[in-house]
Amino acid sequence: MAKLPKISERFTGAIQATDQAQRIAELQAEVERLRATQSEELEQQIEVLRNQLKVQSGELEVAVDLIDPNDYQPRQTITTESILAIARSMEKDGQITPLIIIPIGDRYLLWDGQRRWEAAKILGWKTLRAVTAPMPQDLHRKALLTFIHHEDLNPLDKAEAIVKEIAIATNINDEEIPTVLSTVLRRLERSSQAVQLTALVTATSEEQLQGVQRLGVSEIEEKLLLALLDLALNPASVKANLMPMLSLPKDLKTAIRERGLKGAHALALTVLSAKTLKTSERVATKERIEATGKVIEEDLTVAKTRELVAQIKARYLKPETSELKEVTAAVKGVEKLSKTVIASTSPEQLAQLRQVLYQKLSEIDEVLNQ
Amino acid sequence: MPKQKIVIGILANAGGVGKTTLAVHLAYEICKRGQTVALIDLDPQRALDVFCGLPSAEIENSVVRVFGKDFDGNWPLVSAWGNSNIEVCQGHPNMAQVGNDLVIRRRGEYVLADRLKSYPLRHDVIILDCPATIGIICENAIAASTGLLVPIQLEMKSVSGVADLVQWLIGIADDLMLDPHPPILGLIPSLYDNSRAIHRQYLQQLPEVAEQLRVKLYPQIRDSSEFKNASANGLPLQKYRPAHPACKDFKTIADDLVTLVRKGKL
Repeated sequence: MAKLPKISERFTGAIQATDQAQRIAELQAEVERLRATQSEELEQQIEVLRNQLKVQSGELEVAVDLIDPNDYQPRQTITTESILAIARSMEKDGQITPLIIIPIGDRYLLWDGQRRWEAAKILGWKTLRAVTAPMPQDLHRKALLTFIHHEDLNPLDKAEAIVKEIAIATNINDEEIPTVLSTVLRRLERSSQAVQLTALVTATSEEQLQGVQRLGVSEIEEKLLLALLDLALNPASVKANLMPMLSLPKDLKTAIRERGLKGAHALALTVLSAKTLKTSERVATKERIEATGKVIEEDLTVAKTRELVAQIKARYLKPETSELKEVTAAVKGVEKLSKTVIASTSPEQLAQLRQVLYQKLSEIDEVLNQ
Repeated sequence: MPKQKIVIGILANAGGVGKTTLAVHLAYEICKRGQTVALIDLDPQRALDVFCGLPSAEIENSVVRVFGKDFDGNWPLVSAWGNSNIEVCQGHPNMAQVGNDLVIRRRGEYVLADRLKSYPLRHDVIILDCPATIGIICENAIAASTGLLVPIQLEMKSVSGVADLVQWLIGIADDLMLDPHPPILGLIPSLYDNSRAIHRQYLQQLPEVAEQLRVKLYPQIRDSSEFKNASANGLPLQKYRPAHPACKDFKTIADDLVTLVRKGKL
């Protein structure tokens, strides 16, 4: 029989494609790992990956506004100075390295190059050069688990990352998560079952499932608690320490992200609100920003921060006011001055009354308009 | 431990290489191991009807309904071989037309995946019997699958088809942004005839290729005219000739799939 052609020759293309996909997946995993450890090799590995991707599908020009920042990258804190530095270099020398992006629908998710992208927006550039990568398996969860238990991650980024993960895992709306969590925890505290829940943090998934089911919570609450336990998080501590971060005013969130304000300090400073100071939003925000600056610059302790807050509060809150007999009597007295009475009063006396009333009106205005 | 639903797409990119034979006999073996199975016939040639001894279904009782825009979750299912643990969603020639329509439909590649998500089947294992040519129906199967099985006849037509299929799969799973990409759970040499030199030669070469493709290679399924006789009677070989040695050829794959179900994940 004549020699048959070998089948392996027929598979050359398939094998090459398999090898390349495998190599890219490995590199992506490696880059994620290096990111987590903040290793120096990171830049080199990203470079290797970028070259692989360039070989596979080439570079493309992508519109800057079609690129979405990586919400799955919990570390969102990048300083303005570092972006400006990159912007200056890009303006002078152009874009040297392409971004790495992951196509999602008609848009792209930014995987590497956050600062180049921010800089391009500042420079008003319309497009950037990029190479595309496939979606790494389970990108968000992997990134999250690495970061969630990382000391350096600020509580705000942590809280947002956790809510995002829980929303995906449970289908509960982002905004509802803090409410559902605090409702169920309040109930468990009342029925003295909160300790049982905390004990489940270190249990196996099976034990967690059974343990939560024994608590007799609703289906949606069960999902939420299991999702938190699955991330090795204590629901009670998430509620107490992380959830309040989400409702912080914008200036405090910015201070956490960009100026390294600590969570506990931020919570103390949030007392300085329009509501507690009984003043306008504008004034309250101004006070809060000033106090935040002082806390950061002088590196105040939490106790000192609370003291500062109390001092500011005292300036705004005056002694209690209440209904006074004198005023009630005066109102009645003035009302008694009917038209007939006024008509039969001497002009001198009326002029005197007018002067007293004017004087009092301006005093009243002064108090009310404060 | 909760069971994990697994959805197996059977793909080949060549006709007559034993996709339906594999689907039917696997279904029967898995069912014998105590799991429930649904077979979905995506092939317009609807060969599954013959293998399961079922009369052709009217269009409204076929898989075409599942792809309809107004599908209400009422899956058209009939038991095979009087066994309520194996149910078939029958095919229909109109699937060819459905394929054309899907091209312009929003989320056209994801219709089956969306249906299985919105209206989950109760079965432990769902087996998708795909058309022989790659196209949007196969893309639907891939998007819906948790794993793929690829029968390969050891002749150049089938081998070439598989080579193209593997390369195409890598690209399509990227394009469809499947996360995770459904892995090829195995290559399965089918219709193996030990008396043919080409089969023997290619069977020898296959392990190296499979290794380079990082895909598991299963033991071959032999060719036998009894398969044809069994299907002519609408029965799987295990029911038609329980003692036939070819019945054992499906054992490893069935065991692996049942392990996947019990393990709870791929």
